[in-house]
Amino acid sequence: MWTPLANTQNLEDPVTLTREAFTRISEVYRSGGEAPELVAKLNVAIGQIQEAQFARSKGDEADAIRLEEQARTEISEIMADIPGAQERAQHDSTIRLLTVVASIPVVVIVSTFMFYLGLRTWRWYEKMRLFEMRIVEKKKEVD
Amino acid sequence: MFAVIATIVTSGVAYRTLYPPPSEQFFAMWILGSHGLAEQYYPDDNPNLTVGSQMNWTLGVYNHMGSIEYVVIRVKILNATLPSPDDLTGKPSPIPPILEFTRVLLDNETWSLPFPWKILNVTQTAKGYVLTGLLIDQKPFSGELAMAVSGFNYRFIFELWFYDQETKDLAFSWRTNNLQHSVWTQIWFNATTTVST
Repeated sequence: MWTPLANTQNLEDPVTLTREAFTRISEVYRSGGEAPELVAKLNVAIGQIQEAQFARSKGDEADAIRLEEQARTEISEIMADIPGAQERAQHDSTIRLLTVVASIPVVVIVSTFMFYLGLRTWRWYEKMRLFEMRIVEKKKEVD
Repeated sequence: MFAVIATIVTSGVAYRTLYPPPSEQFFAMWILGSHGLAEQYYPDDNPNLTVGSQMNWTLGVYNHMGSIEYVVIRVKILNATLPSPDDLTGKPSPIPPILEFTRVLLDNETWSLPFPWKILNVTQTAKGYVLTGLLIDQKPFSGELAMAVSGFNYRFIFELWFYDQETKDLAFSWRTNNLQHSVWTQIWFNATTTVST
């Protein structure tokens, strides 16, 4: 997870690869999708690259190359999975949009019906009160 | 009439659901002491460190930028006179880092990483005390890491950098609501003895 910066050399390539992978994954997120599994994989690759940089700074070139190769493999897998994640993101985004847009008339119809029912109930209540008052008045007249 | 009002209100709610307003964008970074609290950074709370005394700090970063972020913590060792990062101009300290920590953070994710370290060697020269050996996270660092007169006021500076996709490079500061922001923190210590006690 860390990078010693002394005695580092020729490190551009794997680091650039991780940044490219990050840019592609963030496009998935920007289009409304999620890809936590790809982020986790990318973090593994970043860790391997940093370990490789440390190995190189200690003079262990063989271990550095091995770790960088593992990181490259991880990043290749991530890059291969990104189009699928992008498709899922677009699909999810479309479904979300359709769900919300379709819910508008449903909410309007239900709320209008509820309003209508409330209005009818109120009118019926007022009518009943008026009727009751008339009965009381008639009773008084009789008495 | 009611149906028209209900349509307007529901459409407004639906729009806000689909396109929520952006919240304030920020990163936060902190350092905790040996018990995971903002205290006990040094053995016996004494910042006059000796060779071999173990510090167990924890660095924390919180991403609230509203998107996933590629973050890098750059660790620098300075003395009191070397320039710190500048919050007003958003410029980092010009001193090169001795190491970096990198990670991709999801939105609203907190990253905690242990930062155990100890001094391996301090050399006394005519100009002052020079930190010549450190062990950070079980990895040794050697060379003239920092020099301080009388061994007082060394400091670890932790700068938070992030990958800017527009410039395709790491950036130290960002603008939100027309204000410039940068995140860094520091902890001071002294190393006035050249041998383990």
